[in-house]
Amino acid sequence: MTKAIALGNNFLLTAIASSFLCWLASLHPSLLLFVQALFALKFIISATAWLLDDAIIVILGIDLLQLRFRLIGGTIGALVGVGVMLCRS
Amino acid sequence: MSLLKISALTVSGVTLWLAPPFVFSRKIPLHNFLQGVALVSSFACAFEARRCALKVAKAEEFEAMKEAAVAADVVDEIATSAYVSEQQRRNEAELLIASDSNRELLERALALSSEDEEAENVQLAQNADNELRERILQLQARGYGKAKIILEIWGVAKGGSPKYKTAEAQYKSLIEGEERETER
Repeated sequence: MTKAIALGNNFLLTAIASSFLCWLASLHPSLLLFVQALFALKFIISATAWLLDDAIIVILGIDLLQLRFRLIGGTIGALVGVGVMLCRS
Repeated sequence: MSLLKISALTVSGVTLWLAPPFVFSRKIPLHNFLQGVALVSSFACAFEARRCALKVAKAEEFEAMKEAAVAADVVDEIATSAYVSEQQRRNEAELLIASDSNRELLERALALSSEDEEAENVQLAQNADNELRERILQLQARGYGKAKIILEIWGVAKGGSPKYKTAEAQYKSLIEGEERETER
């Protein structure tokens, strides 16, 4: 039960962080560029990690399923955070 | 208490994350600033909730391990006590056997039991003799002669064989015993 709550909070942290970045991006055009670059970097890193999963699991010491779960969870969390900020009034 | 704290922090984190963007306007600078503050606080709430949840999960795991260890200890203790009592019983029995007085008692008991067995054997032999005697009397009443009776009971035909002689001697002793009893 508590482990599930911790995992849910991990997802929440990713979503809130990406919402915060979106909020920062809305403050200034140069910050928007910076945040776009950050998101691009995040997705590039995720894609690379997905491709190089065998090497990553050895480095991180986790199994393949956990790595994929983290990558998918992180990506969905970031998208949800961006979506929330895009839908705001 | 911890679970309540975790739940409260999670709920407040979600609320502070989702409510301000839809409640405040981004065009008003103060509202925009408040949105940022709410996002930071929601992040802090979620972070704290995650930390507490991991701590509680670890504590639960530790408790489960402790319970398993206690159960294993109890099982081990029971097994040890059973083994010790068995050994004690064995030692006591050995001591009893080793002591001279008890050995004498045991020997006496053994002698008594063997005497009883001897008496029992004599009784059985007498019973067998009585049965044979009864059978001989029945055959005599039917008019059977000595040779025929021996053939019938011992299964030995008349002749000079040692088996016949033994059977004849037994027959004679039984008949004599019967005569002695009738004289009394």
